[in-house]
Amino acid sequence: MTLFSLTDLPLELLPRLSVPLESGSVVVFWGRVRRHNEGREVSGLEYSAYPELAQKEGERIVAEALVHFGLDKARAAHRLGSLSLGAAAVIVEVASGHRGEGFDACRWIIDEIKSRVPIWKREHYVEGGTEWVMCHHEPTTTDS
Amino acid sequence: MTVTVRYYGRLQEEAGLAQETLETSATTLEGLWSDVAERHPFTLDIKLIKAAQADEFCPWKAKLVPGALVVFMPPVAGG
Repeated sequence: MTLFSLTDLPLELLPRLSVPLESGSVVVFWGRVRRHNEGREVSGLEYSAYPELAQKEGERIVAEALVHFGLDKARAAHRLGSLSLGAAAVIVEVASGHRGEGFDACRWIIDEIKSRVPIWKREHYVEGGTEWVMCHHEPTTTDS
Repeated sequence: MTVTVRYYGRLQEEAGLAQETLETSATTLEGLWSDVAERHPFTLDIKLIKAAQADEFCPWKAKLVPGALVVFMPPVAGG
């Protein structure tokens, strides 16, 4: 199974994660393009990536989560290219025995993706103009 | 030595190009950054930038490999 993927295609079209019968919990996080950011009205955005390293780093994050949280299955995917409001930018899916580790792992994976994977976002504003967005997340560790 | 340097995001916009091949006397990634920062009007502090060589993150003190592809990255913003 692919642990992490970058795609130009809508994430909404991804087939659902196949979940083993051992998993009592499936947690899914969708990150979507939001209408406002820091007081400005957004009309859409573009994602670009350093694909070779983004792929490796994304896979490392999901592999770390599988071991650290004792998950049955996990995967994540991130969109590239131009996205309109409401489109899914990222999805994280986690299958585990119980919900506790599932919620924790899902949160950890998305936080790590946001702070470690070389992907960049340029917002387009309704008032005109564009801006590269700076991530405000501090890296976390699996030890914390 | 000759190296190829690639930029992403804000750095690509500020450099006005995605990639360039250049001659440098630098021996580390940090030295190479100093070289390219003289050629382009970059606005981000080196503390905010990450470097990669051979498609892996590398510390600034890492030795520059002749012919390598070096990538300079602004702060990431996925998700």
